[in-house]
Amino acid sequence: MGVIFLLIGFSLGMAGLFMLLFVYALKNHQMDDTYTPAIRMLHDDALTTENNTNLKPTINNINK
Amino acid sequence: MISERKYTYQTCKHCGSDCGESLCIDNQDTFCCNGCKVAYKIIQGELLVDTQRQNRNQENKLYDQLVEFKSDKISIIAFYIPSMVCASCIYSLEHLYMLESNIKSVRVNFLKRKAKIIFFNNDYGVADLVALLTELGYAPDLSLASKDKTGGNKTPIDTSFIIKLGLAGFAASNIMLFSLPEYFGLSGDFAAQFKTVFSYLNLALSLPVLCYSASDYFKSAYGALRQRTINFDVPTCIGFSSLLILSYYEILTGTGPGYLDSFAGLIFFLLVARFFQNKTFESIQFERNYTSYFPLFVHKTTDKGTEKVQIKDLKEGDLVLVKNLEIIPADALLLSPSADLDYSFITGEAETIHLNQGEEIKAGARWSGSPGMLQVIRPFAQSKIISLWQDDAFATDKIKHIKTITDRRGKYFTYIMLSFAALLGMYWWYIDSAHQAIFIFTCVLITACPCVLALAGPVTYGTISRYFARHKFYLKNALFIENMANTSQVVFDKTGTLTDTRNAEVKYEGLPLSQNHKTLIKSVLHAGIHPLSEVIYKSIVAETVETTDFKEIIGQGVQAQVAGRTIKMGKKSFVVNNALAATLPFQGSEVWVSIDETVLGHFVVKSKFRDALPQMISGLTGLHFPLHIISGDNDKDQDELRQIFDGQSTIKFNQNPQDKLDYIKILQKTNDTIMMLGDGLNDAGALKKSNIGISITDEDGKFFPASDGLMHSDSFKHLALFITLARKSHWVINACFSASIVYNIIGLYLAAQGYLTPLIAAILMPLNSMTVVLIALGGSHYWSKKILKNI
Repeated sequence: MGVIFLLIGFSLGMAGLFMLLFVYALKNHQMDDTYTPAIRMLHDDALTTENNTNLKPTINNINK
Repeated sequence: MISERKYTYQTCKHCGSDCGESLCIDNQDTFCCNGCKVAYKIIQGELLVDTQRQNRNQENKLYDQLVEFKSDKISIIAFYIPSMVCASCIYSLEHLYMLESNIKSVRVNFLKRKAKIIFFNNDYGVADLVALLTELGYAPDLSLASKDKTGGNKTPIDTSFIIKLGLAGFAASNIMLFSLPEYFGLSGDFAAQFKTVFSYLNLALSLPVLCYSASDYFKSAYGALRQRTINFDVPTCIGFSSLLILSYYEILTGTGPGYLDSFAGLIFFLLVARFFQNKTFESIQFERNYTSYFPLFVHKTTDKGTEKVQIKDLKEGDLVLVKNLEIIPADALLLSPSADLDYSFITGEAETIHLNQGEEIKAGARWSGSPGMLQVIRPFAQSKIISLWQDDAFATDKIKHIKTITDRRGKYFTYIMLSFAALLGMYWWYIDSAHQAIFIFTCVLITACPCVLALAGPVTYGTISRYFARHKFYLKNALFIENMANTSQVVFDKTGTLTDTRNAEVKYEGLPLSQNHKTLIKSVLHAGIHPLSEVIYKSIVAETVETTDFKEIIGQGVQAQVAGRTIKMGKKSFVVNNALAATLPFQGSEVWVSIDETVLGHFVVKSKFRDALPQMISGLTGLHFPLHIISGDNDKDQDELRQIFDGQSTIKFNQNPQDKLDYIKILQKTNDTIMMLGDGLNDAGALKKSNIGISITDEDGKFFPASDGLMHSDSFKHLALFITLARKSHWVINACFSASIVYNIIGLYLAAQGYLTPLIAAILMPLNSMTVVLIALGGSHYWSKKILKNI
């Protein structure tokens, strides 16, 4: 039964880690916008192909 | 001749939804909004931006104060863009880099209508960016206020509050887990061993809750005690302290497990309730003041030509160039021969007034017509309109002054509780031990706990305010429901509140108009820019033909040749030449018409009262409120208003913003709770001063005036129902008090009998909070559903 102390250490450690991650995320403003990322994900970044060759995303050219 | 709105079903080329009324047409394609149009064109590669960049170096420098971050290569700027309405807008804005190679990336926060743009600054600047955004239909807000609005990273709910809440939840759940052996009453050597370890773990876990999560309560209680008053947090904190002292004493002496689970759980629930109450509506900005109306820059004229300067740098004697529709930045003298202005921001009166050279113009007036020249006589900060905003009404924080029913009931409750707890404690000290005395004292405080009642208010208000929001009535803080419930007098502003700005009534009086005449008139109006011409244009059902020789004489009227005939429309003095006509009585805003010098008649444009007005008023009279109407307008609508409102109501005309503010102050002298409804422009001072100021808006998410609440005009007619529901919050909170008193009596009875064991206390405490929360939730849902079901 002594193993229970070890397990409790693990459980507290993990819960504490999650708590820290939560605080970290909050401080990094990850929770500020709960709407836009869900929309952003649906945007396709097609645009580079076919008839749009003249309009390549210029961001890549600059970052070279 | 009231306008017939043609409505045809058209689908958006980009998203396929119904375009409705906000149709946006480009060539042959129809789009439901500007965002879809831009997104479609970006995808098709059709959008070409003018690469011939104008030299805006000087302007770029001026705008630099808006930049959040600048290095030698990139700049970061955040704009507030109110015209962002849909997912397509997010797409369009975030793909700006496709159009302009100097833009590195754009991140949109849709809820806040904010776009953060990173761009390369060596040959590109903010002014270029503003020009590009404006061209695409996303003109950023560049008013004075935008500096504060976009700067910083203010989140609607304080980050530290969320951390407090998270920490309390984390600690509470872990403490409860470690208390399981106690709950199940495990015994034996090994159980005793880990019970001790668990107790110490609980102690460790409770420390951050005490020091951080509960700190607000202790601070507030300390603040109240220092001012020699008692607020609700005082007994709450006494309860917490005795609970903690008892628990720490038990744990450290090894005599028992303590009650830290109750403590952490209570703090967690209290914070959850507070979170409920503070949940705001992010897309609505209630903090709007005069700085939102004024531009960042004005055109100052010097010997060297005109230059843009910041509004605060304007000095007495400076010459300022103003253009059509610009806001006058400071009190000034008119140097141009004459000018037309409207004071709609100040008086609500949309009709233009005519001024001659040398007359004084107040800051806040809107210039209409061809550009003109002014000389500043008072700097921006000393202008009349600014001094109004500096009234005390704007400085005080209203929320702090709301005395809730919880506070009022709680006070008596608190004293009674404290004395009962103390008496019982002393009794047990006398017949048993000090330990038992503290235990009884704590148990009484916690089972009957007034802090549990601190849950009732926030949960009730929060739930009701969410029901309001469903019906397009948004409160800045749920606590304002308390003020709504206590409302004893209601004050209305007229223009924009009782009247419907979208829907003006146009009447024609005079010789009958043939269809041919209508075509001629409509064609002339098509070219006019005056607001009245737009209203009349919409009301006439006819075709338009080409006009020639169009002349618009500012402040007088328009004149044009259509199909060989001369049409004149405008002021009576402009159209009618003979003296007889001048004696005709004046009615509202008149536009006279003549064709080939023959006067046909005139249009009367009258702002119409909202259709829902009688329904709203009859609802309010059912609640027996004294009603007041204060209007910046003249008394031309008096008769009509009298018909709608009953004889008891006070109606005042020709009130300027200061008068409106003073009127509220006078009403408040009798300790009445005043509700004020206005449009948030010229009555902002009165809205702020009133106990609850609600602004009425016709459009969703476009205009956010200074107020405590925002109501969509569609819901305006239900005002009486909203107030009725707010009053029911008292019913709910009273029910919570009653339930708490029942627990209280049980607890006291058991304590007096000596049956109050730790186990019973541990059950009674959470049971009490649960009951209160359930009653608060259930009660407010029940009344909200019942009262609002017919909407």
